Amino acid sequence: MSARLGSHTAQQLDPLGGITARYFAIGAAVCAIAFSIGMSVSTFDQVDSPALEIVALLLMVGAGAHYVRATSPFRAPFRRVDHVLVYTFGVGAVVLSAAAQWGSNLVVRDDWAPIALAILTFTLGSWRPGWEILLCAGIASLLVAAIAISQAGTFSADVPYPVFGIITAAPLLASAAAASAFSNSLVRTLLSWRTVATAEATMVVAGPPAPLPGDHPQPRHLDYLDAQVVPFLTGLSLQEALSDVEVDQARRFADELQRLIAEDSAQSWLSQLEPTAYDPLKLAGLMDADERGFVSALVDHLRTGTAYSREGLTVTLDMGERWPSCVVVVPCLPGAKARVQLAPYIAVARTVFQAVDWQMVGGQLEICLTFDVFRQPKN
Amino acid sequence: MSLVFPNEMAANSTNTALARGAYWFGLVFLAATFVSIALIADARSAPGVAALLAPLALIAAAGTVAVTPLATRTVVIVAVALLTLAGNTLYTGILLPRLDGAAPSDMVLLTLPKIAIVMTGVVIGRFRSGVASIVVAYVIAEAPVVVFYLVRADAPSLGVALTAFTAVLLLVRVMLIVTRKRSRASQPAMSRAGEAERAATLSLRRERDCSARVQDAVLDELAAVGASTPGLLGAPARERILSSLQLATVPAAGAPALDFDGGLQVAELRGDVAAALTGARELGLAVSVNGDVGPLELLDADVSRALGLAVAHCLGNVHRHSGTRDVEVSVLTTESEVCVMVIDSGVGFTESKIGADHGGGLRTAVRAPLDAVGGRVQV
Repeated sequence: MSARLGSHTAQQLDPLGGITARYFAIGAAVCAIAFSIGMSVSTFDQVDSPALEIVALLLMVGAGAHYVRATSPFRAPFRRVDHVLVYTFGVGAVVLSAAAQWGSNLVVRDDWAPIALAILTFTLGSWRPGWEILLCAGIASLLVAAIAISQAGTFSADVPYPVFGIITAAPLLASAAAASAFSNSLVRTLLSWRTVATAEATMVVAGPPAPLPGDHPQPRHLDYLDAQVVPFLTGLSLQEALSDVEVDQARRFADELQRLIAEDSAQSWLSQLEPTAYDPLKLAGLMDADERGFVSALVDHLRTGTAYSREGLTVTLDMGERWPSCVVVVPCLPGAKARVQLAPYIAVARTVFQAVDWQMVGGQLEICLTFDVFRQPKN
Repeated sequence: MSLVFPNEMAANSTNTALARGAYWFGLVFLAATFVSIALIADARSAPGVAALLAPLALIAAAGTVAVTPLATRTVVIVAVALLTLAGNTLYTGILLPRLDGAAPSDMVLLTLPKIAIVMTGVVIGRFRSGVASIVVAYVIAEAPVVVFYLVRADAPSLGVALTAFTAVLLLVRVMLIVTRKRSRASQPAMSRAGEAERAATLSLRRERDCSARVQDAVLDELAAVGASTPGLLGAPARERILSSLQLATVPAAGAPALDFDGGLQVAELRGDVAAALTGARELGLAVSVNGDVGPLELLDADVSRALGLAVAHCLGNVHRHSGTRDVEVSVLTTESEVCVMVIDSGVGFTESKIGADHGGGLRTAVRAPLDAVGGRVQV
């Protein structure tokens, strides 16, 4: 597997797809927990140690709960340690549920823990690289098979012992194979798209100048240059004499041009986006196009979204302890689902900025976007 | 590069990834079934194992064809369906009489291939209606078993596990359409903002170039005309005005290679910095160059242009304000940085004490271009 493919996840490359996938992560967690509790109750006659069985159930609940928590767009990305934690809880549930029925387990196919772990694994494809899913599930499958084979003496079915291991491990292996193939396919498509999109953007930069967007005004000193100064100097270049009026005019043009240059240089992209923006250190110029594009999209969303009050919107750029940050503050309307509407933006922000922090305090939403002027690779 | 993966590509890429995942899920189940049957047959010395290999292989082959691009054609889809039905009928017909109906565990060997068949329906579903494909696959999976029991005059029953599994798949299919629409609603706005910002960045770059040339060429010219005595305007003066107009209005092209004599310059200096030094010599400055100038040629186009503009402006300031003709340009390089120093022994100035109108040149022609490419300026 290529190193490039092995280090990317679908969530990192397509944060909005991660929000879609989270619904299925929640569904998988609910199904896994419901299945675990249902099967545990229906096979309680095979349980020798209820305490171990309950702890096993709690571990599976913990696996599902952590899975749902870690896949939140407000905590993106889903990290390797989260994957390992989910599996640790899940494998712990497998071990303890087997221990709870040790010596009294009659049927392998109603053992709930491996199937519950398989249900969670089935939806991992959006969150972790394919090789990592296979590795974790492969190790877990060996353990599951080993536990089933070691219990085989108590099973009622008359088949070779390895068959119990295969039947028990198959759902987990199959889910891992599916999730891994899903992850590899999606990541490959997303990387291809990025390569093409980047190449197109580079061609635009290298080619003839693109037409100015309709709402992008030219700086006033360039307008003044085109309208007044260039015609004046062009006229002079065709003359053989210089009058005192023209000398005086040249001085006035120079003064006015310098004044406009100074005023235009004081204008930043941010002050054009939001007139009340506060950027005393002119940090807006340090942001790259993706960061500026995101802030534009976010400010536009906060202005027009139904959960926020446009009047109190403020945007401030300032130096943090180490890095510059853009802080956006907006009052939230009571009863509105501000967090739900904000989720896609936070998910995308985490792939654009060095760090993203947000909080909702006293009906006010504050988002802090830290950007890296040295352009370190993002998470 | 766009901030987010386009919606129009998201559905297709997810469906393709789901199809690949479903294929591998089914393949693992078929493999588990075959290995289990081989072990059981060997343990029970039951002949006819080879007879079960063929239908399992047929089901696997049909699934493999379904995952290839061939499956866009209706005739291929129909062929896959018929092959799968034939394989399942054969498999069911050979296996069912050998199973112990009182041992529900044996039915696992029927359930696993049936789930694999339903997964083939998911694979086909990426080219055709996903829901219909899954339902048809379910019918193909269950029909032979139902017919077998009817032929034996036994009461047929649908597999609970398979039915539940299929119901979940159908729910997933429907949820995917609904949740994707909801999660990706913000993508168009973010993409538009990203594209607008990239266009604005290109425009800003051109504007900065133009502004810097305005600073150096046009303002100098206006100042020269404003300081002139009214009267004859000679040809050299008119040519100088034309040259300044050209610099201000034409995009900078690559500068020609130049040789420098004198000083410690041993390499042929090319590019934007060379053009700035040439311009300074034409103004009458005595420019000496020392240090390691080779790396200046290795800078990428944006950095070279920004550095050239900055050096040109600094040399212009030496000419306008320093009161001296002698200026030294020193180039220092490390593994990661190039440092260009413009040194004169003129009257000097403190940047913080010059007014905004007169400091605009440093901002627009020196600091701004270098900040934009990650450089630093020290005065």
